[in-house]
Amino acid sequence: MLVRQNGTSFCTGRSRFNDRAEGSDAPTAKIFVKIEPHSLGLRILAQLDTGATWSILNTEVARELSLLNGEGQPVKISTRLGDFRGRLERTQIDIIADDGATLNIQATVFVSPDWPGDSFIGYGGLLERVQFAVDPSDNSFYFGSMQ
Amino acid sequence: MVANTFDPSKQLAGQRPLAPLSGAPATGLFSAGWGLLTKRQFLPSDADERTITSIEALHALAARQHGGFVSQRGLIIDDIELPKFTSDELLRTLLTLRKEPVMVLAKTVEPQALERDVLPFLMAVRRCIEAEQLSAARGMFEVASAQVLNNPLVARLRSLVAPPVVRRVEKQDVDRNLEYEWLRTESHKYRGQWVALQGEHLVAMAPTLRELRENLWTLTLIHAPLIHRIE
Repeated sequence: MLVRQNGTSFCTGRSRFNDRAEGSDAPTAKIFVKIEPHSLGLRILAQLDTGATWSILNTEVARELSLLNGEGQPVKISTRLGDFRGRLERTQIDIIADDGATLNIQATVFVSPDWPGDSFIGYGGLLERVQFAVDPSDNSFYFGSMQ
Repeated sequence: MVANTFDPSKQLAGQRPLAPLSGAPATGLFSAGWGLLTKRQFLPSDADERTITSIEALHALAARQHGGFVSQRGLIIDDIELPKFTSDELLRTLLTLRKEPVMVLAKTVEPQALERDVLPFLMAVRRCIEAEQLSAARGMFEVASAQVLNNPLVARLRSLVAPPVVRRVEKQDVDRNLEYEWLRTESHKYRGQWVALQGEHLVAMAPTLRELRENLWTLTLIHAPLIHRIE
């Protein structure tokens, strides 16, 4: 695992990420990490997007988690797929480790019945309290808690 | 109905703190229901009283009498979304209200304070959220008065914009290189499908996640499969 110069641990877990959007025609590599939304009981892939203010859950995933009928804050977000109205909801998401410890995160995510895309892990409300690093030489995603 | 909740003034329109009656709370989620009562817009009849055996029945009756309807989130009347009544205390009071229909509005100071302080605060925080200024939104909670922070709408918004809470858990996944390889070489055949992969094997597929989960319940698997939707 990674350590800082002073010897303290930078991360507590590592997982192998997938670097392609399967089935899409996107020419550039992406980073898809394994997550497990709380109570879904299944590991899914979510695209890492550090430029995103909010994480987004795929609509079907959000529906399975009963988040589409929540009482969260209504918001509109702008994405490359257009503008979407939905709600911010608080939920738990695990970033799954292959080695070390998984991180359980009580996060704020955007959900919308109209969102046509996949799941995204954004900075605001989720990654902002996670230390993370990417090693493209072996597609490793390192992560740890700031606390 | 979602549009109503965009406008905080509508959310607060039904909230009128009232003179305490039978010890019922005059703030929070109860106040919307109380607002209906004080305006004497919902008075159960003798016959109605006999049919009210649950909170759900109460919601339905209030909606029917007032031309509204019951949603999953609450009572919708006059295009205003009111939180569901959730208290036995409130139910008991409703049942006796017909016999004591006179209710008095509380001092006007509190409603004015509510609208003067809470409403602008909510609007300002929501503007920050819409503008994706998360730090600014959080900063507003740090300087808000206790009276504002105690408002349930404010408290709910505060919990939503709170920083994430992270903790370690001892849980690990298996190496998924085989699944990733399958996605690289085989996924083009399954566009629009949800797939469940275990190693190099496709163990289930379905057009919806719900159907995929139902398929998976019937299978005995060594470890949790990796799920992905092929675009």
